[in-house]
Amino acid sequence: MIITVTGVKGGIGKTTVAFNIACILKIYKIVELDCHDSISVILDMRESEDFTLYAPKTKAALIELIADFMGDENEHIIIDCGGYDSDVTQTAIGAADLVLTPTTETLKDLNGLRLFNDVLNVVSDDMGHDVKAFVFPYKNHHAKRRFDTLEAYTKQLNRVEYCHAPIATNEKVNESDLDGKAVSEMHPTSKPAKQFEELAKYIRATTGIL
Amino acid sequence: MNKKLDALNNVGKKARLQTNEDERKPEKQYKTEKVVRGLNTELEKFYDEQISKDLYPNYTTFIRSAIYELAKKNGYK
Repeated sequence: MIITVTGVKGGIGKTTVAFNIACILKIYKIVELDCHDSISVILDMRESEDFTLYAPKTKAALIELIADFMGDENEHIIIDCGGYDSDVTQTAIGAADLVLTPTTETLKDLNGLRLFNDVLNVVSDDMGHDVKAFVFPYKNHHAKRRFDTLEAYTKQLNRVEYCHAPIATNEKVNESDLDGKAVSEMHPTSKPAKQFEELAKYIRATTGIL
Repeated sequence: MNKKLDALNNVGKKARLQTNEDERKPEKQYKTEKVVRGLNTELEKFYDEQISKDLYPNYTTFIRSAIYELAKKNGYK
């Protein structure tokens, strides 16, 4: 199974989500497509060497890598994309069994979501089938419960689906990064840790195989 | 499955950024470039020697800045 964490705008939290979800779901194979090496830096800080990191340098290498995981219910991999629309990003989207996209409700990020929806339309056309992404609120205030703007906006877009699994970020998430750990490993009782667990439950329920 | 793989070969041609396969960075060797891993002691030394505590009263803020500096010192781009 292939889970792709993506979006065409930078700074929305893709890498943090990919890494934290990988730790909770115990998917220790990650593909880094972000040219900023974000996952690499986190893994460089990690004491245990439980992860295998792949950084394919060509689209052909990416396809060769993910071919082993396509259609295999027992082999899982997470792909962390860069915050831009590229040929390798679109390939990772096309190959995915599940596409996850974090976002805030800011004007800039909602516009990014609109552009991302356009990309999903292009990939759907190229693949010959519907490709959808699950969008969930990220980096929100810890007390915020409702995300009406985001929920309403996603209804106007044909390729994204709102997923009510909000994750608030705080310093505990950043501190965990510095030790190369997921927040669920370093601060398991914290609110972000519990919210990442909720997102993981949603992924399990959606995929049914994890 | 082969049909999906065939389709993937055609995906991405309309993307804004077309990666130049000859110019993309070499594959990163995980764990071979120990850029910032295990450098807490060095971070503190760096903090004491080079950075004013007045400038970075918050340790976390300092660490973020120092990681960037250390990464540059280690040739990490």
